[in-house]
Amino acid sequence: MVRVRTRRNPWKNAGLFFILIAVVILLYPFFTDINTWISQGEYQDQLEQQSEAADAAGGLIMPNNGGIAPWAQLEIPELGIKLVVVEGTSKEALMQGPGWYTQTALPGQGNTAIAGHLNVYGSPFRNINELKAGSIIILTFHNQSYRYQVEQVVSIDSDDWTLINPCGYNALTLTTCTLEGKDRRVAVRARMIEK
Amino acid sequence: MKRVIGLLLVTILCLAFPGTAVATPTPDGYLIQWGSCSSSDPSGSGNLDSMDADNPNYAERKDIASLDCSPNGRDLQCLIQNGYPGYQEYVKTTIINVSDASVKITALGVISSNIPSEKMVKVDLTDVYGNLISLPTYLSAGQELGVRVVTRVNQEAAQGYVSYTYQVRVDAQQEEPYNPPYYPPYYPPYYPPYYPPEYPPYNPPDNPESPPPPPEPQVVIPETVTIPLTPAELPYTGGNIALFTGTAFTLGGIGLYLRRRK
Repeated sequence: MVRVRTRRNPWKNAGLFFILIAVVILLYPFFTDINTWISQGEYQDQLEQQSEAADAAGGLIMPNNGGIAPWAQLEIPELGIKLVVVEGTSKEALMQGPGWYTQTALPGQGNTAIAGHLNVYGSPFRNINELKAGSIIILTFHNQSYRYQVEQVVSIDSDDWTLINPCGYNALTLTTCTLEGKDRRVAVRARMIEK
Repeated sequence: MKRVIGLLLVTILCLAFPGTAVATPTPDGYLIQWGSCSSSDPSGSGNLDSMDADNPNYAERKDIASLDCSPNGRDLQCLIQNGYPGYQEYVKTTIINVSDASVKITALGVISSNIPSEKMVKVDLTDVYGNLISLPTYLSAGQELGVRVVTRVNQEAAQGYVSYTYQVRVDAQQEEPYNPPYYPPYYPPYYPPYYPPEYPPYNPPDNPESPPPPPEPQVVIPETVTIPLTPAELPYTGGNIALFTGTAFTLGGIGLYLRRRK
């Protein structure tokens, strides 16, 4: 029996490698979304446990264990968003979901600011630029719900901290990136109307 | 020869115009002269001698000494006869600008005398009010300056009756007319009369025992926020899907091309 030895084409192997790389890159955003969705589920459970523990402790605030921890729950009915906000705006924190600017005020004590990704890691703030004046945002913090009404949606420079600074009233500011460029951001300013 | 004459004429004409601005001195060459002198104790007048205030012999006034001055060109020649310690007299005179332009008096003083020491006889040149003449002093054409030549024989002089002579010289030079700066008249600022504001009369409350309710405290939201002094950029929350897609399709296209290559 004669064995016919077929000669492999190395270019075909290289081509297959390129195609695999392309598929990985193409699917990378979905991988990040999946990672965030998983994290959000875990944080949602933790947040509920914290709420129950806080109720049991007479409403005391549970101390943070030092890592990325769930902080509050953000709900935008108009966009169908209901997400857990984590504490901090570091790169790792924002991979888990929207993050609270720790240098800003707690809800009901001034201007509370939250950052979120636009189109990766769950894309929590993908459509916040569609909010209009009058839209309602609900932030639940320590079993206390705060209702905010959107005042304005603006495009700002990436180094413009004016909307993060104290504004003299209870407000909620959401920030995310924009497709206009890396040096631009979209900010939503809402005023608290109900506690 | 004509050229020389013409040159001279041109020179004379050139000098003629500025020459009108030069003060013309008197025939004896002086721009100023001393006026007539009037001594307070001329010789032979019979006036009693005046004594200076510090003189202990004030009570013994007599007519012993005399003082006379007379113009001599630009000098004033003065003579004290029988001068003794305590004798004090003066001569009134004037300095006259006899030129046709303004002059500046640059020097005025005693130039020579037979007085052994300045401590013995003191000569002061004052104006008519007794003030020392400050130099330089300007005199317009024809103007006169009143001068008093006050002479006092001090206690350091020789005891006895001694005659002294001295010359007072005045030097002057032409000066542009003095035009004092123009100061506009002073108009004090107008201050409108003060009308005090009218305050409505105070009407005490009907029930002073119950004070008015305090104003409602303003709600101030304390924000203990620490914003970085040099804020960096807001957190980057993007991810360019087009870049992902473009890169993936490019690599995929290259892979398909290589797969089909024979």
